[in-house]
Amino acid sequence: MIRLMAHATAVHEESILHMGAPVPNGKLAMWIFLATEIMFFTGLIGVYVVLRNGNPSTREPWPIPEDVHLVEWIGAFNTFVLICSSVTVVLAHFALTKGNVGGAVKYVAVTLALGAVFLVVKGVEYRSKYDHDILPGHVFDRLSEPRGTQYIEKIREQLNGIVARPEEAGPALEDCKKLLAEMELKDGRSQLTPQEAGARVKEILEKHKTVPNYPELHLSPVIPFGNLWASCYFAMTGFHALHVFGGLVIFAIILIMAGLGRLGVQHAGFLELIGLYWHFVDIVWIFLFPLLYLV
Amino acid sequence: MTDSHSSDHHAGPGFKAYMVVFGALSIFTAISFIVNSAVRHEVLGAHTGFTLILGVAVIKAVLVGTYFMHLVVDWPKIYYLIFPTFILGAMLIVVLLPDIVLDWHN
Repeated sequence: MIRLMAHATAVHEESILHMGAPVPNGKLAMWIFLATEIMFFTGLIGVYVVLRNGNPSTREPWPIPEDVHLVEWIGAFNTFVLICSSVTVVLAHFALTKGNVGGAVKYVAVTLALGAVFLVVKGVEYRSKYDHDILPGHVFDRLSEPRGTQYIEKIREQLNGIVARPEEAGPALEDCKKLLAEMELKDGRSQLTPQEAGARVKEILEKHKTVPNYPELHLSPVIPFGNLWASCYFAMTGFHALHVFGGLVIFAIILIMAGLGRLGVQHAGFLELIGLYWHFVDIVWIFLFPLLYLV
Repeated sequence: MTDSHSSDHHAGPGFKAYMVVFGALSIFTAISFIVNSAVRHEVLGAHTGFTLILGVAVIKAVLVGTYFMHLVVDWPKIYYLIFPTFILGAMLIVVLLPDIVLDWHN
């Protein structure tokens, strides 16, 4: 009789259906959001992969980091900074679940600081692109008209600037003077075609790379697919940086809550959710770094 | 729906696991940087380097997801949210593949 009743109870328990996912509402919502973010960045990265493997050829290759003033070790440093920040945010959550609110606040503060370091380094990199005019639409990647004429004008302007400050030109001064003379206008037209000027600029830059401590010459080389590269670079890293900034805003809110004495053990779930978001931002950079800086 | 999460219970890896994963991530980052240098100096082929670097990136992402994002505990509960995005992501690139062979400029 008892066995029959136990069996009946077991059958009754099996027939009860539990609605919803076996996770808290907040975690479910965050993972759904992260799924949409995966699609967002997959779109950007997927397009970059397609563009990069599409038109570039051996004659006109995709820009290498050196062409576009991208420094690999800076990207590696930023990767390490974000990895460290991922560690500190997970340790913050770990501390909060153990009741150590003070420790959690310190870890969150370090995470905020590391995120800020990442953005500062990103800002320095963007400044470098701006200084070298490697911006979407500004790069001379093809010299068909009217870009060819614009290129000639730009190079002449830059050469005049180099010749006017000989103490900054270093060993390149004579080559620059010679090129400027060849680009003097006769009947309103340059003696060199844009393509020839581009080849000469490339020669000068290559030659002076071999000079120890060579001064950086402000001469714009022709960079095939440079505008496409710049568009991809700023779109991907720009959106990623916006996501980093959003994370920093949340961390600042957590610190303000702590400062007002309102952060407690009950916020461990909240901290876990922002941690999930932050780890996702880290994972995106884990893929962006090799795709943009390395391969 | 009731919230069954208990804020005073940390389900998942502990401090030691986090530090081990951190060490692994640092080493893998260094590996990808070294492989890149090897490719630049033509010690390694471009395709080999590309495969190694992307492989390292995938391993790092899996480590972060598994341990830092607690998927080692939560994967059975939410895999159905993430898995479709992998399929859709791969499909997105496959769908765009024909554009790789079309050169509109020539």
